[in-house]
Amino acid sequence: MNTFAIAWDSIWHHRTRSFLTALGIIIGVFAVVTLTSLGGGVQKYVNQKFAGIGANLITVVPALPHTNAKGGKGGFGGGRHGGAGPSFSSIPSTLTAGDVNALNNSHKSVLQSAAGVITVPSLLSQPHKSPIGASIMGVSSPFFGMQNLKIQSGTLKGTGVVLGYHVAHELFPHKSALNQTVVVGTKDFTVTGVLKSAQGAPGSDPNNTAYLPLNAALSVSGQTTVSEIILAASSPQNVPSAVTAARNILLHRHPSHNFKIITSQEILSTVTNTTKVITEFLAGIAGISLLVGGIGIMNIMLVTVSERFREIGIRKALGARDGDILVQFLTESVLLALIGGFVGTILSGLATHFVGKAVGIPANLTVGSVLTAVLFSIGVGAVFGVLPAMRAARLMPAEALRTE
Amino acid sequence: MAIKQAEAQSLIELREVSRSYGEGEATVHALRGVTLSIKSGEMVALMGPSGSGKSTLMNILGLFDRPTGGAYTFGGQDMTRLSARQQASFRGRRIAFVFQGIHLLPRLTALANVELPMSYARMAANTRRESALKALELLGVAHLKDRYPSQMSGGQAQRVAIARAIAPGPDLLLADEPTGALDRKSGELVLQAFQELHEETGVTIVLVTHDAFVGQHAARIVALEDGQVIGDQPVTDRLMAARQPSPTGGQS
Repeated sequence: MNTFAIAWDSIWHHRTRSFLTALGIIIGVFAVVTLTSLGGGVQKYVNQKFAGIGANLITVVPALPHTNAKGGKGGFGGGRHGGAGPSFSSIPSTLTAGDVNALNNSHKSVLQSAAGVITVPSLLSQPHKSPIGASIMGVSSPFFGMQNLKIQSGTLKGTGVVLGYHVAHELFPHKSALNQTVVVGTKDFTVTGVLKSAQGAPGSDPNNTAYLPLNAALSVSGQTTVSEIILAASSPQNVPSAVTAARNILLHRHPSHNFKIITSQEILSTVTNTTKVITEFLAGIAGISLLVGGIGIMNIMLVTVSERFREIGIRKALGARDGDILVQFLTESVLLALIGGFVGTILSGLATHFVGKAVGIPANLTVGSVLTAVLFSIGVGAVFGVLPAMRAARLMPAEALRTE
Repeated sequence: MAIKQAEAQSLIELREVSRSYGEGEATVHALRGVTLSIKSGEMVALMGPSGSGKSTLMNILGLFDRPTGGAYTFGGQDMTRLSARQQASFRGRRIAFVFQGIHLLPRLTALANVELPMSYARMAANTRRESALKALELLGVAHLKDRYPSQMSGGQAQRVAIARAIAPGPDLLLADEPTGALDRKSGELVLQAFQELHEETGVTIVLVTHDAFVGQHAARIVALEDGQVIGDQPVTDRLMAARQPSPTGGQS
């Protein structure tokens, strides 16, 4: 009869009690693993999004002169900086179409192209119809290439409006949108292009957006400045030198340094760090329930030890060493915790899968989170089993046998 | 070494062994200088009323307890110098116990119970199995090997317990009121088992009892009272349980 079999026998003998004890660990492991897995899923989602728009993008956003104050609230909520997508700046922008042209005509090889972006606060509709809920942006034509947006029909370089996939279908469900007329605010535009369905950058939704040429958008909205400028470096490796080049050009035009340059890697790492911190924080809170579960194990093991005084005495009288008894009870508590960890992990796998599907993030159990759960259960079982097991091991056999 | 030579015959040597509990005025002297020698192959009954110190003496002999004074040698080896770990290991290899309560582990089969001490002694599985079956055979309970203690009578369980005690081949078998929890008939069967075991294997047996009838089955009676030896003599009219099961004599 080996130690494992003895431990299992004892656990099985008190099935209800063992289950309730393990439940603490089940809940704890479930909470920790689910949260870390979902956090991992969010991170994977963000990474995928960024991978889609390329790592060579640089964003210039307005800033207060000489400060590192917020450049704008990112479209994707969690970001600290302005996003690569449309940005509703709280700081009056000073970036102009002239800046975009200066960057485009810099003749620096590391600067491939530059695109100004503004958000047009107008509504989109068919003539004489009620407007639909699409957002309208003004962009320079390189924008489409940077954002990996492909044309389905028409052209990207026309003078009219380019509609996102859903927008086109919502406005013109039964016919081609191309060459139809739409109204932005009060002005008529001809549809010169329709985009393929695309995911776009984090926080942007190109399918539900209509894109005007930058200058047209400026005149429609009466603005003179752009919300942000997006730059494409010639390659991801050239991003740092592109940043330097862009900064020099812009400093020449904006001596007060009232702009801020953010690379998409910076944004990505900010988002990644933020989700990581949030995930770890939540997992830490969930870890408290593991602690409580561990105390439950300790409690029940203490009960078990006092119930089995006699058995311990007999075993010692039969030549069991302190170490044998210690290992026996420690095995039992670790096994109990491991069972809890196992069940918790399975439940967490199911929950993560379904929640991930419902929310639309690629969340699944990771090797890391399962490993963490298993190690944590073993640790909890061992740490909280030590005290009862030591108590059992230290019993004097004669004393134990007298307890009838 | 010289001592060992001189006492080659003697398995257990107790010299002026004392044991007291507590301190100051509350001190209880359970043993007050017990000197006793038990030869290898003897069957001795330690007799005395409750409170005479026989349980304390048994705990010291079984290495469950340490004397506060005096010397205890087992097979020429000084037992008082052993660490708790060494004691446990020594106990596992050399000394076996039969208790008053039927101390079989309820969730193990008879065979597993008998094998347990040998597995604690780290004996190989096949040796363990072999010795266990042999011991069960010797006690006439081999047919019960797959039963759990709850599926046996008290006498059967006690014989399994004796089988468990002798299976590893100990030098000393310590029995603490082995018939105390049994009715007279089962008790006699168990005493018979002890006597047959003694004859067949020559193992040294110490029976601790308050029951004179049980004591009469041993070859020598050491009487204890108030922590001291008050009598030590061979049994002249020894009862042989196998041949003349007697309904008279002794009170339990």
